[in-house]
Amino acid sequence: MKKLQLTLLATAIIGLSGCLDDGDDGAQGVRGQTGPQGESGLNSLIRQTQLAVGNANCPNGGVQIDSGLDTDGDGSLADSEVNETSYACQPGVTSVNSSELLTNLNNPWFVEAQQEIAEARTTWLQATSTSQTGNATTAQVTSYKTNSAAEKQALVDSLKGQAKNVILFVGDGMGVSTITSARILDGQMAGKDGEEHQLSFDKFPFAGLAKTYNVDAQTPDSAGTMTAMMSGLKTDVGVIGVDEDIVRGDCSTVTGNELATALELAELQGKSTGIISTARITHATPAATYAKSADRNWEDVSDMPTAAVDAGCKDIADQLVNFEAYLESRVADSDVDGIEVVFGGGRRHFLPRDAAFNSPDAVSSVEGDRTDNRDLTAEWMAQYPAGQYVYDQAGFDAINTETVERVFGLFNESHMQYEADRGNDIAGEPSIAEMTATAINILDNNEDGFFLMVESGRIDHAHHAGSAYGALTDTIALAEAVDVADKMTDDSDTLIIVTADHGHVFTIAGYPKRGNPILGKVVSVGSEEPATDADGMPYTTLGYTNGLGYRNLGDMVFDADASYAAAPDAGRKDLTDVNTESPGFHQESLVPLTSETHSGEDIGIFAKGPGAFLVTGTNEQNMVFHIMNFAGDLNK
Amino acid sequence: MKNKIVLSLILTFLLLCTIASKGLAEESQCSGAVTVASYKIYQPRLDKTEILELYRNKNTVAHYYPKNQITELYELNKAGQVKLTKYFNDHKRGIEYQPNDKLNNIRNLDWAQKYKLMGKNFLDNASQQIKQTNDCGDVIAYSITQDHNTFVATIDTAKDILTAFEITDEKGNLLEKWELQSTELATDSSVFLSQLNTYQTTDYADIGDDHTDPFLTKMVNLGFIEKSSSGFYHMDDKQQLHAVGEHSH
Ligand SMILES: [Zn+2]
Repeated sequence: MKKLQLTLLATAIIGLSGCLDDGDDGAQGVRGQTGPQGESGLNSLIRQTQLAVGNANCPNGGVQIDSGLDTDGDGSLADSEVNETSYACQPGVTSVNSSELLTNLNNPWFVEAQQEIAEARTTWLQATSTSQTGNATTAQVTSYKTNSAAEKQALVDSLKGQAKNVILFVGDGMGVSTITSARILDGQMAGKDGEEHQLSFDKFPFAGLAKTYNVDAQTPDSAGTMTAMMSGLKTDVGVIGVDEDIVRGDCSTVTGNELATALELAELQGKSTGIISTARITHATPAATYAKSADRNWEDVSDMPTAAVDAGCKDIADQLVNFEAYLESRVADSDVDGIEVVFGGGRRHFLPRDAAFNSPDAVSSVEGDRTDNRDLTAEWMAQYPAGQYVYDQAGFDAINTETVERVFGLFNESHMQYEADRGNDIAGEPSIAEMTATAINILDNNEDGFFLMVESGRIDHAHHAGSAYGALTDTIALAEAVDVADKMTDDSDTLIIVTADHGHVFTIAGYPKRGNPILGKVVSVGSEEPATDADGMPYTTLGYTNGLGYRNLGDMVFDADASYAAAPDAGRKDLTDVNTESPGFHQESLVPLTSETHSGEDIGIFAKGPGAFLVTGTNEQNMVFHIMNFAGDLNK
Repeated sequence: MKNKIVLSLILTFLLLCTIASKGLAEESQCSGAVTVASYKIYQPRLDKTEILELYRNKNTVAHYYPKNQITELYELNKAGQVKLTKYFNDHKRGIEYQPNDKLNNIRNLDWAQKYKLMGKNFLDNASQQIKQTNDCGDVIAYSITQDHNTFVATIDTAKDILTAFEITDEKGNLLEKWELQSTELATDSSVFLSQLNTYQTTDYADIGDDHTDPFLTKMVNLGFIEKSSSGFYHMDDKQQLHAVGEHSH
């Protein structure tokens, strides 16, 4: 590499002298006898021509030197006047190494990728070396040899449990196309082309794929997929923390089919635990960390059939507030201290259906939904007198993370705001990054470590509504939270996994040129005008296979709930005069449905920290639990 | 934090006292705002007649369309936001929309337009003419002529109710007419509103995640049933009069 650059430099210097030179004057004739007057002396001339690399006479380049007499006396050496040609080839290279001539080697993409390979190898060696096999930085371990079963077990044990802390980030509905386009949008907002940009977890050293199907569904939902990730096995769509022997909606089938979760195992080990969601904290994804329910919709008692209530099944909100007691009743001789950090939305499921219990920032005239007249926020405060219940930004900001024993934050009546709307909340809501930072500051007060699950729950909702803008801005907010967590923790004792539960039917299509606005219309390579389809109409890069379809709410200044609730409007629209980059633009869809759907393709798993090296290849999604379990040695 | 709450409680109390004393003074002769009303909305060119029933208390208004069995419930919260829940009465189900959901264009719903049936900007910009003076308040005609059409809304301020609304073109042809038919209905406002409160509701954001609920599945596959496209005129920031039901492309 360096050699080639030197060679080129030398060539360039030689090239400077490669112009046409006057030769020295010819020597005067020897004085002879006086005779007839001799002819005048002729000038001899030399001509130098620079030769490019690959020249037949000088394979590495060089200079061709032609010499002769200026017979016509015009001061320059014509081809016919040349009587001798010699070559001064580039020194030092006597034979051509073909690899040195490949343009790849001099290409920055190539060089950077080569460097990445070197780093990846070092990372892998570090990740799989153990304290027993020596200094991680010098480890050359590519395989382990053991002489007995006992030795092998000891080795496995030494690799196990190196993660004191485990943080699982879940982007609900954050499929691969969502990550790609969010990365491009984030890069473009920073003034770059975008494609080359990296979100925080794009930089993680390990990644793999997960197959997301549920036991009874090709395209899954959050309940079945999060149960797989938290409990280590696949189950049916729509059920929380129970195995596939469940009958959805049938309370009587719950008993005996309840599953333990990674959060519960961490709790049983005396670690601190936390859950964060930008959706309702009783929504499927966070619920799968703590609840067992025959139906994801049983968020509070009013959502349950009377038969289920009478049969003794508990609603999900109740299972969160009484998590400690329920876990202790399921695990003999256990004594746990309950979840330390709960941040999310969904106050309605914790309050009675009575305006007297409204929070100061209620959006409904009666905020609570519960029909059993229980105020679960009051029950939580009675249970944990040293804990702090907060419901707005001011309360959140006032949390002293070093002294508080535990916190319960419910920042919205229903889901928390989309990141794009967050400024509109009445009492203010913390961002997902702020919640993550505060949670880690509280959880890391426990020297035995912690387990934290953080869900960005509204990427999914924005996609269902057909709004790429909403999905991408929430994905970027999640990436910021991951960055915060990564910076606040140590790679040597904290495993961070970033993944999704499932994808959406969201595509990046056409042949837009490099740096083309990701929310814009396709402009082809070498063009300045939008490309057109067979009907002569421009089209966007981003689109959906199904859903509501085209909406352009971006420039509407008046209330238009009729448009909002309008029937699906699928198919092509003339977008010539439409600003598709505005927040109110909703991408076109092919199949008309009131709500866009999940997709069935694989999703990505990104990881760093102890045990992260286990994230490779294409896996069943329930493997996520086993990676966390191995790295954290949660069920020892 | 605590101080803030105490302060706002005091302010709320003072405000309530003011309203109460004012209310008391008027109560002797005046009945105050009506809580139920029904309108016949007629569009002669389309030969279309629609019934709208209005149920309201201070911070809650329901617009009920008996023909389609749809109710739109609007709730005004302390921050001045208006929250919409759309009920499908014969299914006893509702869909809730979060206020200020910009992505879905739920923002700055106009409370006057829901409560008085005429938008704030319309009322602010219309010329006013007192038609009748009563002890408890006046009957005022608000009118605007725009794009060759004339819009006239008549409001009984004592009862805080729209009593008539007409749109005519420049030749005087009637385009649309609202008639207040009754301010006494079979169902009391509080009964109607509390009945709605017992119906199961689902967040608009959540309908995509449910594949087992027959009602939601039907909605996802077939789309929402539209309410009537008539009426609900108000003025936007550009001082253009719009029918709220119309599509703006
Ligand atoms: Zn979903």
